[in-house]
Amino acid sequence: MSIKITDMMDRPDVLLRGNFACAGCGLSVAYRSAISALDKPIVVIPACCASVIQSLHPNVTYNVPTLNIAFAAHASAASGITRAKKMRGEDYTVVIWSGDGGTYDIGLSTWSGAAERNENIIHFCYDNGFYSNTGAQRSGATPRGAVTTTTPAGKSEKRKSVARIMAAHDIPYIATASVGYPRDIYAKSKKAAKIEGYKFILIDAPCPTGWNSDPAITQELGQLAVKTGYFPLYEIVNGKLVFSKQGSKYCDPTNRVPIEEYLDKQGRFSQMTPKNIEDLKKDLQFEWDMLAKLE
Amino acid sequence: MVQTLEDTNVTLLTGNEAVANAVRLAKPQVIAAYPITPQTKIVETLSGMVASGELDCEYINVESEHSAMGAAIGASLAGVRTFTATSSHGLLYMGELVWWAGLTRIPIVMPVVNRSLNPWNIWPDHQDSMSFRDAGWIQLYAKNNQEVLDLTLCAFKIAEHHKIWMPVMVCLDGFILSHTSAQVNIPTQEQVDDFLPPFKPLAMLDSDNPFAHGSLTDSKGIWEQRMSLIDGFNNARVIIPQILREFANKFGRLSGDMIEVTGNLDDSDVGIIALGTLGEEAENSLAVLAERGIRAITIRPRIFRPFPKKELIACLKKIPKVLIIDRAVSFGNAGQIAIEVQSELFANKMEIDLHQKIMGLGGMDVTYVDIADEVEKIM
Repeated sequence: MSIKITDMMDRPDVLLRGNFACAGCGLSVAYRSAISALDKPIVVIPACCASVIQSLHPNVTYNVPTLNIAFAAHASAASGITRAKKMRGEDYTVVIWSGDGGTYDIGLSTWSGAAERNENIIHFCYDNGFYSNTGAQRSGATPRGAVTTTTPAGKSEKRKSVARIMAAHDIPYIATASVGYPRDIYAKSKKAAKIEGYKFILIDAPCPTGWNSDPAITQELGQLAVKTGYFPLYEIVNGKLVFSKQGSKYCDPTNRVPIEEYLDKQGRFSQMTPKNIEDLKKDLQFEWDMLAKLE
Repeated sequence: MVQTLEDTNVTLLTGNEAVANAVRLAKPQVIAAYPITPQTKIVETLSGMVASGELDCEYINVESEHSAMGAAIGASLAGVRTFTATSSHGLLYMGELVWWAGLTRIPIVMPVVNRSLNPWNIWPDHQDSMSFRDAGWIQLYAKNNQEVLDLTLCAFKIAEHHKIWMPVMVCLDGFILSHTSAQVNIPTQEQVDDFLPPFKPLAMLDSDNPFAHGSLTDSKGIWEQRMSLIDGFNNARVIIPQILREFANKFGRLSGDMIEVTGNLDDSDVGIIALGTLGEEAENSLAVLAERGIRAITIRPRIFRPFPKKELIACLKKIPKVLIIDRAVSFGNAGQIAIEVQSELFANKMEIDLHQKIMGLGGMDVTYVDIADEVEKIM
């Protein structure tokens, strides 16, 4: 789907001025790009940065009906909403807007249940690879080697592949997208809205505050994640994986920008040893190989 | 005693079936539930009713109690009558969201089929629901299967009253009620429709009027919300008796409002306070006590939250002695009812010969003779 930047201006008001996001916040770019693509969204937000940046009650910068709910209750609450609106005969796009902590870790059980029931929900996970809201603690999405406040020597395990766990639920639509390519987020969000059932979109969302990166290069970091092969872009439609246009050439490792260019721009990787970098590269290639099996 | 079912409206139902029949008549539009003994027959019966088309409702088979309450909160805020049911560890597992629903005032109706907590034991006591007496939920305790059905119907009307707008727990003792068949008069749909109006949302997730529910709130905002909840309970104190009285007028049952008194309040030596089936067992002890020359009465709160202070004090003013039986413990102190009654007595500067007894934990059998013996000990 080809999206023009002007298409994205149809609903400029989903995220209003005065929100509490940090400078260079990847989440706010992701949110605006994804939610502005949807007709009549109801957004369910578990504990995460998105529950904080919306401003302080009674003010709110999300100009769509929003339910803030406990950390591990996003998919259950969204299930309740989607069923209730069905009973009321009202047409809504029910959305989960969760961080990686809520998706990879504490909320896994609730979304697994909703995905297994194939509830009519779009589940967005903006992934910054750690608990950003609480000040940069390790999550299941944290990549190997990254320093967080609970892995001060760098994380010693690889990052979990939540998209492949999701794929094991055989839901009709899975996509990855990046803040580096907002039009792609918008297009995938719009596409997901047309599909009945549980949809999952994982969005790589740089967090300058926690990554110790320059807020001015958030979008560049998003693109570098794709170009270095750190964050593959693809869709899995009814079980069949297709690499997305922006990212397909990076299937071939020789086309990738060296990973060091991505790591060097983030303080969280500053103490990576050459061995750490080699291990991280192996993790990334392992993920590509596993994804290729789904093609 | 053998009884004949002469009234054709009376049928034999277990407590769980009584809940399911009340729910069928109340017509919720979303049910989300997870099975746990001894609640299972409620959700099995309801899922059967939904599958057969007898109940037009979305039934969500969630993967945990935490999700059952999550789905119920979402559904209620999306604008429909919502139901779930649980028990024991199920209630504890959904605990975070039980508080969420209580503190943000989501009008969900949830029977708690009372069951002991760990180690594994499926028999009844009140430790599960008592753990949530402070969670912003209205709590009703039923003494028999008829009252289970009646209070479940009232629970919807109480929860959804716009001056209350709070979740309601209907507590029924596991197995003693949930799995025991007894005579229940099932009202007709017309009768129930006349009593219980359709769900009218106070606020709803709606694109035409977008708002954020449960968003980040400062101390002042939290203070305002907590004060509003206290006001809600004050309203409930006034409105629940009105709803129970309306029910009594229409159905001829649940007379006596917040508290059921059995025996002659104006001429008695001792009162027994107990909840649920222990309250009914205490009623049965009155005849035994009379044989032993003791004029006793029972004072059984149907409503534990809001705590029926005024009604209890009015009763306690007329009796010289009271035995309070708790089926749960506030560890480090005493039984919850005993603690709360003593607090009210002090607030009212009343002195009474007060005795307390914890009985029936983990499903320990408590017979009317046991209760009579306990009363006799304090005479």
